[in-house]
This record gives sequence, C-alpha cells and structure tokens, in this order.
Amino acid sequence: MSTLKVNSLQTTSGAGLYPLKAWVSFGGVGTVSVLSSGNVSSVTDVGVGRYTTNFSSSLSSSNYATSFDNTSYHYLNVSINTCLEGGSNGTAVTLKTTSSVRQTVGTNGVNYDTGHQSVVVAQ
Amino acid sequence: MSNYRVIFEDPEKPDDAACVLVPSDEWLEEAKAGLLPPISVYWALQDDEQQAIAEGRHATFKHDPEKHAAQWTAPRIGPLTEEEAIEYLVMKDIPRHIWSQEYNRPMFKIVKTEEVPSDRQFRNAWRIAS
Repeated sequence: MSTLKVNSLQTTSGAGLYPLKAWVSFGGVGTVSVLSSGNVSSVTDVGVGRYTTNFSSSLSSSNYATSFDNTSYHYLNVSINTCLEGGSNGTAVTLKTTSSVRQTVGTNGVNYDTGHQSVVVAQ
Repeated sequence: MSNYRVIFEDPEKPDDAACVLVPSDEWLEEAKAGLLPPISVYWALQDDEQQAIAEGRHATFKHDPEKHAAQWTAPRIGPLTEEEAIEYLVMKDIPRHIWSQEYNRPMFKIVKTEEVPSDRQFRNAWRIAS
C-alpha cells in the first residue's frame, strides 16, 4: 500500500479540492453501532438522541464545518432535527472541539433515538 | 465489530444517564496494526484546547502546528491487542476527570458488547456498581 502525502489538492484546472476531515455512519437505536467511518475513533451514546463523535486525529482548529443527517425523520410523524449541541443561547462551543463534536436529535425540546445517523466534518 | 463497550458516568453530571462509548472498527484496525502515537500526544492537544476554552479564546483556537503534526510524526507505539486498544481509547476519548481520579465508586467500566442493555429506559436508570 502506498500513501500520498501533499499539502493541498487541485484539479488540473487549478480549482481547490477539499477532502473531508472525518465522517461516520451509525445506528442510534438500542445500542449504538458504528457502521462505517473515516478518522473517527468512537461514538459515545450520551443519552436519548444525543451522540458524541470522537475523531481519531484531532483537527487543527476549532473552526470547522459539520453536517448531520438522520434518515428516520418521519419517526412518530414528527419532523426531527439534528443539530450541534451547545450551551445556553447557542453560544457555547465547548461541545464542538478539535477532538469531538456532539449532536442532538429531537424536536420541540424532546430528544429521539433514530435509526441511522451520519456526521460529516470538513475544514 | 469490537467485543467491548465502555460504560461511564460523569461525576459532574450525576443526573445524566450512563454513557456508552462504542469503538469504530476502522480505529480498532489501526490500533491493532500499531499505527497509534503515544497517548500523550492527544493529551497535549487536549490540554492546550482546554486552556483556550478556560481563557475564552476557543472560537479562534488553533493547535500549535508541531504538536498537531505529532499525531502522525511521533514514533508509533506498536500493535495493541483489542483489550489494550480499548484501554487506550478510554484515555483518549473519555474526559480525563472521569478515569484519572478516584471516586467512592467506579465511574467507568469496560464491558462485553452483549452486556449492554439495548432497552433505553433500562439503560437510563443504570448506575455502575462498585
């Protein structure tokens, strides 16, 4: 196996390419099961509808983009949202660190476990 | 899939349910192949970030490039067994105050996967016995 080591990636026309820093797909109902992942060492089930994704290698800074998804959003016929978990007023960022990020799945203040979750991190 | 899970409680949040840490297969393969750096590399990064959080400058926080690169440049620790890898993961992914301090009862426990109750209501009422 060979490893390609570069500082940046570009297309042949010079446009930048930005590979993902981490991703994971996991089941969130019952006991959590990690289905597949990249740069993710573990997923922690923190409580109902609350999951922490721990990165294998820490990111270089706390400013990174996250995208969460769940495919069971029709659960109980309510629209369930997944969002970054933070502190009061949505200003605390201590649950989004360079080594992990926490998400909450729920609606109207009620959290739900859902069948299939995914997290994508880019920087 | 790993044969183990780690159950832990945060003594700073006594009303919260017990957490269940689930290792990823991808990371476990790396650990078994001997590709991990010394755990101190991660602790150094965590310490710097915690200090930034405490000083209110986390929003613009960046790791020191040399310390950050140590994740790949530090000498590898060699192949681990699955059990050793889980112990390493405890020290990497579970907040340090949970496993490094002594309390009047255990705050974490490594258990077989099949021992974790799949019923959420039962698990929410779970407490780690001494």
